[in-house]
Amino acid sequence: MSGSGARMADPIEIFDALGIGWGVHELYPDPVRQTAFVSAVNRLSVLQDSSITYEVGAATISCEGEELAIERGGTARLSLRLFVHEIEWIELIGQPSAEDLNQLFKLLAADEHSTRNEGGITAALQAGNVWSIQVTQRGLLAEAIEQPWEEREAEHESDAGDGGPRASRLARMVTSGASAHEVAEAMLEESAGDPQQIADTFCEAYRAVYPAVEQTGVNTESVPELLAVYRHTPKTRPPVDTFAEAFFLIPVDARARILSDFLANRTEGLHSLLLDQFAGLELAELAPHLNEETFKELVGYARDVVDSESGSADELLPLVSAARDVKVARRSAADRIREMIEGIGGLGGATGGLAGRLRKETADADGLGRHVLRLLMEVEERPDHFARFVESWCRRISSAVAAGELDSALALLDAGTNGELSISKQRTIEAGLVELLRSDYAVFNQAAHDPANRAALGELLAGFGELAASHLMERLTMEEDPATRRILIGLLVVVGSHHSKPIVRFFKAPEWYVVRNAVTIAGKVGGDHWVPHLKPLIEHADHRVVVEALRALTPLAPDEAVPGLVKSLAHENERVRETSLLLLKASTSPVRQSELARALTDRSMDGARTEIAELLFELGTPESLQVLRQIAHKALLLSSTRRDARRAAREALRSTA
Amino acid sequence: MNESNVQEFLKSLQAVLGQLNLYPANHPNSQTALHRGWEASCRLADSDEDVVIGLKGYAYFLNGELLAYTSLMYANLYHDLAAREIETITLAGATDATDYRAFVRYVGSHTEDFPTGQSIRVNESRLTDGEDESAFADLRFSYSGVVGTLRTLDHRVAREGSFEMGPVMQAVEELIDQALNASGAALLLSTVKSHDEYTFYHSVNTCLMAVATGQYLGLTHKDLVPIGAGAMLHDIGKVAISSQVLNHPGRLDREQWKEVTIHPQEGAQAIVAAGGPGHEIAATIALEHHARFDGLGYPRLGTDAVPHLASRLVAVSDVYDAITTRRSYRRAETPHRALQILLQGAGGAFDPDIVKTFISLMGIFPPGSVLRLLSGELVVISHHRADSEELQAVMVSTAAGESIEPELVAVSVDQVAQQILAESVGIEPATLLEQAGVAEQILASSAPRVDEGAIERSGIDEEALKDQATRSLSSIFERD
Repeated sequence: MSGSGARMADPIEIFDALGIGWGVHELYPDPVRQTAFVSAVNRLSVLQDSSITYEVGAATISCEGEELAIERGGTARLSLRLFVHEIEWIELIGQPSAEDLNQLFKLLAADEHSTRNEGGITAALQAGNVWSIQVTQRGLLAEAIEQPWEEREAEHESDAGDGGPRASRLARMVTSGASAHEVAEAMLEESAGDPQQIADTFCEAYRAVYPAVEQTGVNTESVPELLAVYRHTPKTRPPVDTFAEAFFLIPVDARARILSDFLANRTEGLHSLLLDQFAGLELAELAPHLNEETFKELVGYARDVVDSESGSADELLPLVSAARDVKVARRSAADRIREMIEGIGGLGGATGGLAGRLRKETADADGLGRHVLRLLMEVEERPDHFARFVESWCRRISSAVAAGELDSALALLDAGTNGELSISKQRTIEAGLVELLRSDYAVFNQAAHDPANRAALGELLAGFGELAASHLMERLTMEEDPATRRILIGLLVVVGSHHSKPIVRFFKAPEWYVVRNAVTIAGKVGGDHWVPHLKPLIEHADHRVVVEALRALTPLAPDEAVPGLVKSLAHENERVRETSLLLLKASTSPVRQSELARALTDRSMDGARTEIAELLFELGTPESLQVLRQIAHKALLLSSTRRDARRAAREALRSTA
Repeated sequence: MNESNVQEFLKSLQAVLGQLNLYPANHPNSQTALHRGWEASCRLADSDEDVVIGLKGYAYFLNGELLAYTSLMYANLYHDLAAREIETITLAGATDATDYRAFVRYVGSHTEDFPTGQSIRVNESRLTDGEDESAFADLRFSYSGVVGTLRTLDHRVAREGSFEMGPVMQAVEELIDQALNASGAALLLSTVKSHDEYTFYHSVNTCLMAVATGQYLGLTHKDLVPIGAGAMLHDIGKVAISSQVLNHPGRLDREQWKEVTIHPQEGAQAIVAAGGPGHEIAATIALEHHARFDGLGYPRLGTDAVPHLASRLVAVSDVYDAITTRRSYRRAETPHRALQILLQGAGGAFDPDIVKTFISLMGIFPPGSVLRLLSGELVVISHHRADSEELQAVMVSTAAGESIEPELVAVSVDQVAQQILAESVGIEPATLLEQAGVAEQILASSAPRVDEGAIERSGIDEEALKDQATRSLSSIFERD
């Protein structure tokens, strides 16, 4: 940090604020309007009347020679971006405004080559009237070189005068701006092609240059002031760039020796300065030419500069420290993908299998349709949307029924109803289906006219739920056409096998015919559960209901039906009596005999005793005949009921005789 | 005077026609639109020489040069102009406002008086035979046709909450017919971006890439149609999201996010309601395109459930196109970066097999990639050749940054220095389709196919791939 009054500014906090600002800039097209961005700018207010300078290195940001701990996230990405733009130093002078910062970030976000081709970030910032941020880019220092190196060397020698450092010819060439080719040629020439000599010359020249530069005062303390001079009057490119380029123009054996030397001394800043110019890949290419010790040094160096060994391509970028190397690192990302593709080359099987799997999975369109329906039923949590969706699903069921595709309709219904849905969703579905039945009744009715459809249609309607069953029962009560009524009953027989409650409810209907139809359905459906509901109907006021109830109950509960049947032999209505007589005759219940025997002398059975006696006689069992004979041979009977019973018994026995 | 001036002219013309359909000519809205249209025509006009916009073979031409991108974007207007039998529009010097008005009234069928103004002259020039449609005119036409279908469908769904599957299927079938004949061209065409109508173009691009992936796997036209329809309709549910939320530049709050996350089910519901052959796969894709391979994403499919393979296939194309397109809330990424993101998500967000297939199809540098070579030149990848490892490209600028007449080149991966966002250098890769020589090369290169017979051969260690997968991918693409 430099400048007055800046002691209160914490370099980490300031850079952290820059990182936040960069993060916001990355995410939003108009970052200055974002609260986080404004907040980040406000955090820079500690810089009022002061300045701060950061040095940008390979994966490092330093301030006053101390490396900052860069967290991942915005600060790390900003650090990387600064680095990609080859920025060596960035200085904040006073508190930058949001717009100033935004301008810097825009430039950083842009393609680094385009930015450099257009004059660099510094020029762009100045053109944008941004003075609170100053940057120095490495590459730009080299771009204003116009004079041939010989002229500049002459200037250098004249500047140096008698008191200047004694530098080798190569070192002078470099500091005077000779091109890498020129330097490499000179090295090869002076060393007569001997790799060791080339390496020695290179290392000596390098060490000759850097002490010289150091003596001119280039260090972290005075960098900002020195950089100001560089910014305005760039004379030569940084010598390290020339050395780095020349390095690749000399034989590989020599390179390996140089690398060995530099790696051995890598803890010294001037040596790491050169090493930092090389990309990981470039160093890796030299690895086979290194001896074991140097190779270990190389690995140690790589570990020092790379975040993680299994880092992504972006994380690998800090390994390099020159624009050329950034390019190469990017290529390494491409290499990773290329490796992946090469791997895929042998993967014909897996991908070939995909086509088959895809065909197989898409072949069952109906299954897929049900799958998507099911999922939609599960995921839709908005009641109004769910109801609308149910409505459209119901319409599809109706369409399938209309098309005679009852299996599809059943599958559709199943997809929507067969699963764990919340109670409220289940209610919506049931209401939707009832509504469908109401609105599209004609469709179902039409389908039901084909006897072949009835079983499937009944199953479908059963799947609609209890409310739908109630609705069908209501339809039945209103239906005037007997043929349609029969069809409806047929459907309700199937529905009733799943839902008895709605049908039982109609046992108490005021209209006799409604009750009778419900009883008919119950009888056809079958099952013990109907019995308690049917038994009271034997006492129903309307004889037509009674007849139906007797018919329904007898097969369902033969023993329990017998008392009612026997009692009905004395019913005032002839049809009831006939029905019960017929049913009793057909009955095989073991309680029939005892019930008839009891009824024979029951006072309430007046008018039915002849039938009872005949039935007993027809039973033909020793017990039934014994009952008849006993009462037939009674000589003296006081009650008229018993006398009537004797008469009936005698008639029964006589008729047979 | 360039293609963007023509686009501005056509866009404002479209706006004027729309306003005149709604309001009388003297209504302030019509007046404003007319004024803007006239201004656009003035910007297009050149004071020194005539500017001729030609219409032929579903394409626009500017002074005889095909405007491929414009032809895609303004296909609907092309139909309106063609319906009025307009073949050329000549702007001669500064446009006179009265002439512009007369021209617009004629185009909009508000008058049968043929415009006779001197500054805008209709059908004065004739296109020469040389100005003919390119080899991919039909593909381009199908592309814009599908965009048109989506536009109509979007309005219908927004207005009536429903649509018919028939026209969609027909449009998709036509597009697939074209795409299957020239898969390389289709991939290049899928780099077309529109910021005004992002969803439509994104949907068609996703469709093209999904179809190309399916074709690469060896699926037939019949297999591909429902998958293509699903890819095309995968975002139809976005019609339910308010435009404020859809284009919200910042981070979404809880309610806004909730609104975004319902679009898959909205879309699937609309498709289910539409019914028709193939709707089952399309609805499944629409519902599951944000459901991840690892069970995360939305909507949640339940324990141990993975999205349908067709959904997984479309998801990869969907994300690829989304990442490579600039949105109001984030920047575009290069195709190369998009592939990296897909790789990171393989086994987590995406089906690793599909990712592998997709990358294998697209190559390291997918068609449309803009690359700077180590030697400094700028090239655009046009297509891949099954018989060559070299990148088939078109050089568009020199090392010095000077634009050049596009030149076909083959470059190796080793020559690539950097990948650049196409829009940052003002390149529209899809227009390469119309460059001389490119079409022929693409047509000549056979479509790559996966060898289905090599099932037993093993490849990448899938477990290792899954291990490297990043399961917590940024939500950058979840929102798209």
